[in-house]
Amino acid sequence: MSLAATALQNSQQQASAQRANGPIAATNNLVKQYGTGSTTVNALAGVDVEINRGELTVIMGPSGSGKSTLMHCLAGLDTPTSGSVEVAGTEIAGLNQRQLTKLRRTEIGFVFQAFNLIPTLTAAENITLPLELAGESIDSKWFDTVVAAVGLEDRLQHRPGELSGGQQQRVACARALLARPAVVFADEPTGNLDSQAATDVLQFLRDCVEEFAQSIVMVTHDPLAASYAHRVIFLADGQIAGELLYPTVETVLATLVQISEGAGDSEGACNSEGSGESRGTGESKRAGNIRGTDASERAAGASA
Amino acid sequence: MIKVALRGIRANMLQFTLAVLSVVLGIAFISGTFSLRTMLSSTFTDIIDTSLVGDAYVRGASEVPGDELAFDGSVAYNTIPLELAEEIQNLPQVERAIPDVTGPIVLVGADGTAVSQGAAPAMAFGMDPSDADLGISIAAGSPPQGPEEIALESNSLQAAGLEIGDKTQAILGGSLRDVTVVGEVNFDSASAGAVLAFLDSDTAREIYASDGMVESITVLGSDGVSSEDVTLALNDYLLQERGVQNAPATAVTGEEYRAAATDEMTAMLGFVEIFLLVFAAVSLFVGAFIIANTFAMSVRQRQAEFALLRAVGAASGQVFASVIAQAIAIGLLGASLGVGAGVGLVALLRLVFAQFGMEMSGSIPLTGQTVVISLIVGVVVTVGAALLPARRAALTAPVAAMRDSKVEVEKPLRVRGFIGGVALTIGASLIIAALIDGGSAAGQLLGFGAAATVLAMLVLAPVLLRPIMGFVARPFSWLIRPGGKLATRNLLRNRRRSATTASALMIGMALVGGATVIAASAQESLGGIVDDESNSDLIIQSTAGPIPSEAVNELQHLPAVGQADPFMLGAVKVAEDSVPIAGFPLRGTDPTWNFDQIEGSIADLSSGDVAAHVESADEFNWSIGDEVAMRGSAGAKTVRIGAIVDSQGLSGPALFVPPPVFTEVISQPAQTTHMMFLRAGAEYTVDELREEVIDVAQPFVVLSVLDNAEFAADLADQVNQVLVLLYGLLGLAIVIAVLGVANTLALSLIDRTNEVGLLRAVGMGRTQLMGVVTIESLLTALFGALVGLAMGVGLAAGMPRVFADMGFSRLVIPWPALGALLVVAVVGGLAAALWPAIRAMRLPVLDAITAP
Repeated sequence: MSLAATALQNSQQQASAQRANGPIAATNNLVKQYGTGSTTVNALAGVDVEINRGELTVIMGPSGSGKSTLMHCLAGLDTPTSGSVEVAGTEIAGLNQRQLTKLRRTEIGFVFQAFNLIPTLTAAENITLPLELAGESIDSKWFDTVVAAVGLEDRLQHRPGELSGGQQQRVACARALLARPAVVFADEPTGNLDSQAATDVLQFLRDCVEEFAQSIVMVTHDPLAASYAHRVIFLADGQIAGELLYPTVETVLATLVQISEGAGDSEGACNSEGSGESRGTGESKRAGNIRGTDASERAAGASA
Repeated sequence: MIKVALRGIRANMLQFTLAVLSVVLGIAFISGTFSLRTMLSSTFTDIIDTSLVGDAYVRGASEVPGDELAFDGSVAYNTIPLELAEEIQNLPQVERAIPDVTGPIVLVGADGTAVSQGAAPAMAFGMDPSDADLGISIAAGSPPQGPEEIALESNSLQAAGLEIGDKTQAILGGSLRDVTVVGEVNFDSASAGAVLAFLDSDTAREIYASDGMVESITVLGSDGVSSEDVTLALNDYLLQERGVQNAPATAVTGEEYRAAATDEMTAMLGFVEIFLLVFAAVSLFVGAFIIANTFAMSVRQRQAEFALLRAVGAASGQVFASVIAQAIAIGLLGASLGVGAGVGLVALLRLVFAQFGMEMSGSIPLTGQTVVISLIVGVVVTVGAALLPARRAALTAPVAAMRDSKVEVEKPLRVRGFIGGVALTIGASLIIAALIDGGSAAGQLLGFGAAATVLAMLVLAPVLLRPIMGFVARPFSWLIRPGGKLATRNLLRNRRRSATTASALMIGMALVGGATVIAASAQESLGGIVDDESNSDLIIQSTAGPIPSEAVNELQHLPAVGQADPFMLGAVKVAEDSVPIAGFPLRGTDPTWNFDQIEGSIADLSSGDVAAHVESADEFNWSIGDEVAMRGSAGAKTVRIGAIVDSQGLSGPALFVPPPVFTEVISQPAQTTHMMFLRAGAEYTVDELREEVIDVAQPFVVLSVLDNAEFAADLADQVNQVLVLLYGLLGLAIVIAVLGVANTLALSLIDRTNEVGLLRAVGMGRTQLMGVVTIESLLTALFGALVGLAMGVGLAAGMPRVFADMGFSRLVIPWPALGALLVVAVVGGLAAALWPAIRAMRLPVLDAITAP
């Protein structure tokens, strides 16, 4: 049995022992407003969403749709105006700073678009930083497993400045995984990367879900990135505008077009059973361009 | 572009507040110094104008050696006969001629101690009932009449705690007298703490002009005669009638006389001023670092803004000008506030002075010159500090707007290391040369060596940061994880910036550390000198002025006394040089003071022979058997040098002459006994001697009776007083240094806002974040303090060897005091961290992450 498999088993056992089989994170009538009076902006206007355990969930939507706000609220980085947010069985709406810090340390991992690493620390030190902050010992087997999974064995003693953008994001992924958080939030993790580096990172994230049963939430506006997900949640004007299971680039694009065309009745349209078709692997044959084909094949491979 | 520049300041007010604050502090020091000087000099000018109201003055025409303690610029003239006043009174142009009969007094206050306020003198004046013309009038009671009555100036009366009708004692002309306070005198100016007493003019003449000679005569002209005409008439008379005599006299106008007195005062204040300006320079130097730091960071943070400006068509010169415009605005603002703060400081100081009874002039001590100089210095320093950052802003490429390159790559420190190394080598060579040579140039060599070393260390500081942190930061990295490591790495991230921030503390600590070592060594050396050289059982000193002659006389005739040697100081002219001499019995057997006899022997001196101090013998090329012609205030005498001696304790005088010779050349009022050295007679113990001596000394109030150990401790106390003053001023430098650390920390935290957000997001608690900031601050402070103290102590350690023959014989490194300084640095570091740490802690996590 390989190390990865052991780890998978471990984490699965852990997951089943500690947590019920319900969603890993959920919101109930989540509202987030910015500003007051006439300048009030409803970033989130009553969002009910459940993030499934052991899946890669993508949140998509046009600029200003509230997708980043939703993720920030889920991750405890932003406080909701009203409604509830539950992460790993904890209601975070009323938590104080100390409790939020503890939650971020133990239950949540982060990968940001840019500025993910502390420039003065080596890759290895960056990866172990959350555990060091928590004062917890480092499971060196698990460390090796994670590092091997991101392929950074020979870059551990380098500083971020000496790493490529893709390598930096993989270090960030490794850091997010090391503390075995309940859920990893990734905010446009491939936004600054070239396509090859982006592919590597996306593949790694998908692998984490498959091999380590790691729940991951990723915000992106790249349909290619979204195609790696188990499930895509679409947001428009601060509300859920649709959902896709086992998406491909084409279905994601089609849904986005639908959303932008009929903002009014988008929810009904996208939630129709028709989108269920996209679960079939055969959908990739409908791809109209090479890039789309590549992507959906990869997506298919990942889910296999 | 000006609008853009000013908006830039407003948008980044927080960053610039600290820059403004550092200008304010530096300028406050400068304008405060000038204002203090203005206040002091206007106070003294007031005193001079109020007390010297004559239309003309008659004084001696030839210069004589003055007090050996006088500051540069002080000129003394020969004394003139008292009866000259009566002669010139007959001139038609003269309304009145009043001889200025004045001298020192020790007044015993209500509490039985001598009345004295700070370093201000206590003076007594002869008072004529008609002296109202001279700005002096009786406010209450009556004018003094006869030898047992005295009047006091209002403030002096209050300071003494006496009232009209009270009986007290005073030391007048060397003897202790019972006196009654009969009047309160109104003096039309602030007295600056001087004790002013007034005597009946006959009594004053008896005491202060017993030889019939005075220093000057105040002349009031007849109505309608200008002061120039009075002076002309006086000089005509003096030339024709008096001709060439042994006490030549001349007349000057009141204006000239007052100007000369003012000049003397200014020269004294100039010394204080230079001392304060050195500290102003230190604080501005430190302030310039802060300003340069502020601009460097603000320019880096606004890279995108400059790139945008360039992209929309701003020339690089315009970008440069916009940064410089900001510097000018900040310099002007800071300097204006600084001028105000300086005036505030002086006002505060005046209150403090007043608390100690030193009334200062009430005029507003702010001149246009002070304002202009302060503004110019403020702007020049700020613009100078902003030049390099402005250049960097100007060189921003328009495309930089598209790039997000916040990662600073530090340029290598090789060139810096090389230059610093060369400077350090030069400094060290000079110091070693000073140590080996030890000759007359050694002091200068040491000075230049020290300056070169300090500069070298400033240049080298960034290079030294990493190795020193290797030791200093280790405990933090071990104990506080991962905070210690993060803080250390942050410091090493930009070594130039960290070292520059610490350099202020480095300089301050080097000065304090060096001064502490020098002071401790001086104290130990003084103790050593007293041990080695004093052969006395008791030493008598006076806390105010010389030892009264009456006391000297009484002490010499006590039964328990074996030898009682007064140590008198005076000055004579030898050829054209002013030479300090001491009147002191040179004893072959049972001396009270052991001289190291370099050539000849004190035991073999013929009567009237003198001993020369070896340093002066070298300077004037004197050798045994030489005849030296001395001219003093009382007369001239040629003496033979019979011995060449060395003494580190009594190193001031060039010649030691027997008391009878001394009294022959130095006039009676100038014969001042500074110390007395006593040995017990053969049948008496020291305790018996002390008992008798104390009985005599007690009524004189100002005399202290010390054994050798107490005498050494007393000398050490004087060193400590100087040290306290130095500590006070350097305390301000340290305050500025702490502000600098806080400034750099706050700015570098703004620089790393994203990083702070990231750390918080991945689980850093607020306390942990504050810990990181605090450790950074502590490490900066410790680095500055350790390097500074090492430098100060190292340089000071060279002093005793170089100045060994000046009595600097022992090196003492006062570890507890140095430890205390380190604690001060730690406290400063903690204080500096407070504000930036709280700011960082309050930063909302999401805002920090998403900050542009």
